[in-house]
Amino acid sequence: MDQQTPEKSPWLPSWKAWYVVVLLALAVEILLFGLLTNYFS
Amino acid sequence: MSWIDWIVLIVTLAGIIAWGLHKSRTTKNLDGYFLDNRSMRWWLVLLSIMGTQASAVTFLSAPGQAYADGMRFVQNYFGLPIAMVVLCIAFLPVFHSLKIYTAYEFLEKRFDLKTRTLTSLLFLLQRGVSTGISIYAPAIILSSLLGWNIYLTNIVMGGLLIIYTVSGGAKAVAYTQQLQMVIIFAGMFMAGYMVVHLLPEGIGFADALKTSGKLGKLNVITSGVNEHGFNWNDRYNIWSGIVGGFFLQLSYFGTDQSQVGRYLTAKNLTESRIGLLMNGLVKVPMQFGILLLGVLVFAFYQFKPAPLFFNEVQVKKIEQSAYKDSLHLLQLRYDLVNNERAEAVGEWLADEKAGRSSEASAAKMKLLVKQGDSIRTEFKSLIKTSGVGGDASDTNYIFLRFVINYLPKGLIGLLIAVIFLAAWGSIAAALNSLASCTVVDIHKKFIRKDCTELADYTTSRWYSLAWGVFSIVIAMFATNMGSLIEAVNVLGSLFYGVILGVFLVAFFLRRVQGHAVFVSAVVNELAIILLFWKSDIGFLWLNAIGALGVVLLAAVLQPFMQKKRPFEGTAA
Repeated sequence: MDQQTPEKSPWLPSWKAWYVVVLLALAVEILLFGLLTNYFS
Repeated sequence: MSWIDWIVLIVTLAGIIAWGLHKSRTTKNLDGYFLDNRSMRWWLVLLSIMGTQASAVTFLSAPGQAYADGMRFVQNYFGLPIAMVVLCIAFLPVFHSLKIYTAYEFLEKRFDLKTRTLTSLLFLLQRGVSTGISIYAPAIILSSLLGWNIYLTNIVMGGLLIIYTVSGGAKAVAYTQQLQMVIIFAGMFMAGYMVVHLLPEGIGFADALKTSGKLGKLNVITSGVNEHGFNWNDRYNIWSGIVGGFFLQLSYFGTDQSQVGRYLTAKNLTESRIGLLMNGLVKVPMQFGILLLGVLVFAFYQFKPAPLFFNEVQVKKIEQSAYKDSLHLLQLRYDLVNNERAEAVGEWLADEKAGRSSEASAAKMKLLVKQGDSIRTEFKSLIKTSGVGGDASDTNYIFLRFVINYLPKGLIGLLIAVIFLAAWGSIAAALNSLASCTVVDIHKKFIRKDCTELADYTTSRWYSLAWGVFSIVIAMFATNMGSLIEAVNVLGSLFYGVILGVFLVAFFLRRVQGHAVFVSAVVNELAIILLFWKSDIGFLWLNAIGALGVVLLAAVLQPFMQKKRPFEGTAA
């Protein structure tokens, strides 16, 4: 479906790599929030 | 407000209007007015979608919500990053390849005109009313706290932005949102710094967190499980946040034209994708930060006397009623508890720092907080029983009351400007999207099909103006709605699930055609309204139920419906 060539940027990885980054960041945030909740309760 | 605050407020607002007008030059056709000729880079798309989602209510209600209920509201956004990924994979390629103006335009290509028109009308109804609430919500709070006339505040809140929105369309909306977000972040950061700075001597950021945590406000992750099992009526927990939040955000970003219209302005698919994915990265930490501000304000009030009720207008009403003696009694008890609590919190912190056993002092501190809460509940009951009218919840007033009472001159004006700018960002995007749907989905389909580009452009400007006036009229009629951030989310949840269901069928069930999905959408919309009316189910679940209901019923109905030519242009 996607016929366009993604533009290269000197510092941004391709948008496909961002899928993993975004989901990993969410997992890390939930983990940190869990630890925070546990630590302060 | 002091004259310094007035100057800061007026200069900031006038600056935004001037910037919007400066950026108003665009081609005089639909592409230029609604999509800025698809020319924007990802950071503009990012700031635009963030500015559209974060309304004034976000910055007023969220800290108050954290003060009253703790940080668990952040879980509401856990589904957002997942929704961004799904959007980038399934929705964006189709939207970009079809070169559409509105999300609903795609539904005619995939199904038929009636499905497009139904979803567009549901959007216009929901977004039109909620834009009115977006004007009224901050206006009523500012008018109560500062003694401003509510009608005039509504007009300034919803009226001034019309100048640049009508004149510059999507381009002016995006460029003003960019500047607005910078000012908003700067203002909120300064407010956070000031809360910590205003804590008593010897009490730092870590102590404030410790105190709030001990008193149950750092409940970022909650399971929603109680002694009877999973509580489906619990509004914010990790499961409703991930599952319900995912459907809400997928629906909001994938099918709500106020968001679709923002990322369709990107110069290509990649710019759209990076803008949305960056939003997936920054949204949860941003909401965490706003809620943390509320927790810090809570910690601040553990050491300083907190008002019995943060909306003084309601207190004055009771004072002038037959219940004034009850009020004075409650105030006396509350002052006493305030003083004892400040001492108890100090003792607990001293025990903790000295490494002594702090169980006794913690228990005393918790008991006093509970007593204070119970006195506040008594006052809220008094508002209801006295019949003085008005809102018995003061959640939305907590943050701004603190700002007005404790922050220095100049910063008060800046933070009030922040409230206006946050409101303007989301309202401007809403007006632009309401106009684009009315012109593209309704006017050019049913009223005047063949118009010149210039006539389309002029019509679009008139519709932007008309929706602006309509929203202000709704704001004038709006009455008490409890927590306003929830009112907006609840209203969205009544329609979002069904609209999302239609799009999910369009993308993933290729054999299902227009009749089946249309009947399924109508039946499910009625069922969702009935479910909301007759049950206490947490509103986030309505998104999931509505979406899955449309998908399942459409799949079941399809074999019984007349077959049509399958659409060739979609792919998952």
